[in-house]
Amino acid sequence: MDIDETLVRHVAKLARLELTDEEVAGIAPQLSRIFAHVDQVCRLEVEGADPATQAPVPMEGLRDDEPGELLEPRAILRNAPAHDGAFLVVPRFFDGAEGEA
Amino acid sequence: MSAPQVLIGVEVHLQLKTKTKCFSPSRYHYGAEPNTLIDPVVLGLPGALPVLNREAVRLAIRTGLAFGCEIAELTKWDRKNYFYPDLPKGYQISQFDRPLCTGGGIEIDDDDGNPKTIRLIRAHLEEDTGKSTHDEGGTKSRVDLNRAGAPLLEIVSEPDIASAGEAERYLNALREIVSYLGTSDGNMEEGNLRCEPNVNLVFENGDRTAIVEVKNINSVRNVGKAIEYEILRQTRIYHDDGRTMANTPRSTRGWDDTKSATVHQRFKESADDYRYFPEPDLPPLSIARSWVEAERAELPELPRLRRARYAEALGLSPYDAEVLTGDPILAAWFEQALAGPSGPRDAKAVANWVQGELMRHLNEEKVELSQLALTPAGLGELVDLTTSGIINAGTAKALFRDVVRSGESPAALVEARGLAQVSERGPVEAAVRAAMEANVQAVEDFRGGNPKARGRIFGAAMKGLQGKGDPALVNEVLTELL
Repeated sequence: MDIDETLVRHVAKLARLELTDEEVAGIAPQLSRIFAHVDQVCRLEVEGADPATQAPVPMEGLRDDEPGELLEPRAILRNAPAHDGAFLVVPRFFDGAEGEA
Repeated sequence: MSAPQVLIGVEVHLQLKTKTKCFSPSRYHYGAEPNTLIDPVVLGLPGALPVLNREAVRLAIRTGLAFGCEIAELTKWDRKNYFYPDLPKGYQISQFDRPLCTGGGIEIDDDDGNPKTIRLIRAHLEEDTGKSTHDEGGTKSRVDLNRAGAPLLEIVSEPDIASAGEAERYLNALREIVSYLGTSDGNMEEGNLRCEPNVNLVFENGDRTAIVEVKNINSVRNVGKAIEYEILRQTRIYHDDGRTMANTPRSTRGWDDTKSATVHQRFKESADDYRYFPEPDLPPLSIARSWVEAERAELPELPRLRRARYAEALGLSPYDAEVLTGDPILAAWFEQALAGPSGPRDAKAVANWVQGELMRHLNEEKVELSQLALTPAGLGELVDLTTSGIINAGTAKALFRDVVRSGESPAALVEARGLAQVSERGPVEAAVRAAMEANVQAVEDFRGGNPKARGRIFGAAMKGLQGKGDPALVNEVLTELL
C-alpha cells in the first residue's frame, strides 16, 4: 500500500494529531515500510481460518449481570475540566450531529 | 409522470434490558441523577479492562432468534474510533465483520394489507454513548455519561421499506416483538429504542436521489412524518435542480419536531472513516449451539402468529385479535380467563368482557392488570354465569364492579346475595302484570301506537324483579300480555 502525505494528513486529522510538514514528510516513508511488512503477513494462506487473535471464550467465561462498585460521582466531576451541577460541561459541539452510536 | 419508487432502510438501536452495562458491572437504568452510573471501564481509565456481560449476549441472541437471524458460532469485537464528548474512551466497542446476528426479517403488512417481510442485514451488539444536551444558541454542551456503555443491539434492515406507513409498521412490529420477548423496553421517548431511516428515491428513468439518513427522531409517528417530508423534498430537488446520487453526496439530516421538517446537518463526503480494528482487550466469543437452541426453545409465541391463531382458531375478528395481542400481559390474562374448568370458554364472550368492562375499568381507574384483585379465573367464572343464563347482563355488570376490586368469587356472591336470574314463568308474569297495572298510561300509550312506552313497562317489571329477571322471558311475557 502506498502511503503518501495526503493519507498521513487525513489519518492525523482523524486521530486529532497535529503534525508539522517535516513530521508528515518523515512519517510517510516510515509508514510505507510498516505496511510493506504487513503486506507480507497478508500473503499467508488463511482461507477458512477464524480471525481469532486470542482463544475464544465460551459463555461460561462471561460476566454475570451483577452490579459492581461505581465511581463516586464527585470524583468524576472533580476530574472533568468543567461541570454544571451534575453535568459535565464542554464547549458547545452540536454541529447538528447528535451522538453517533 | 408516475411517483418514484421509495427505498427506505432502517437502523434501529435497541437498548437491552440488563441490570449492568455491556462490558462493565456499572448499573444502568433510565432517569438516574446524571453522571452517577459510571465506573472506570466506562471512562476507559488506565488499567480498566472490559468484561462482556453474558446477559447482554443472551438478550441479543433471544432477540435475533425471534427475528429469524442466524446466530454466529464465533463473534468478535472491534473498536470504532471517533472523537466526541459523549464517547469517553475515544472509541466505541462494536462489531464490524463478525456480527452476532445476520439475516432474518420482520413481517409487516404492506400498504394494501398484504404480508411483507422486511429483511434484516445484521444485528450486532455494541455499547451505547453518553447523552449530550446543547444550550439553545449558547456556547456550552452538557454531557451525562450514565448511558455510556449500556448494551445496544443495532438492527440494520435492507432497504425493503417502501413508504412511511410501512416504516411505522416495521417499528411497531419490532417494538411489539421485543416487548413479547422482554428483551428491551423499546420506548422511543426514553431513548431505549432509537431509529434512523435512510431514504432515497428511484425515478422511472433510473435516476436515484442521494441517500439521506435522518437522525434525532423521538417517536414512531415522527419517523413516518420525516419520511413523508423527505419523499417530497427529494422529489422537488430532483425536478427543480436535477440533484441525483451521481452529483450529490450522501448526507445526514435531523428531524426538527417544531418545524415538522428535516434539517441539513452534514454531508458524508467520504464514507465515515472509523478506523475499525479488532478490540485487543476482549477475546472473541464462541457461541455453543446448545446455548442457541436453549434460547430458541424459550421463545414465546410471537405477536403476528398469536394474532393469526386468535383469528383462525378462536374465531375472533381481526380487530379483537389486534387489541388482545397488542400487549403480551393482556394476551396472557385473556388466555387464562379463556381456560375453563371443563375446556375452553367461548372466546368471543371472554374477549367482549376483556375489551369492554375490564379495559374500561383499567383506563378509568388508571391501574395495571397486575394490580387487579380480580383474577382471570374470576372473570371466567363471571362469563360462565352469564353464558349459562344464571345471571342477566345487568347483574353481571354490577357484579363485575364489585369483584374487580374485591377479588371475590362471582359464583359465591351470586349464591350469597341471591342474584340468580329469575327465569320461571310464574314470578315473571306476576311482575309484568304488576308493572302494567302500575303504568296504565304507558300501556294505553303503547296500544295507541307509541312503541317507546313499552320500555317504561319493561323497566318497571325488571325493577319488580330486583333487576334479576331474565330479559328475554320478561320481553316474551310482556309481548303476550300487551
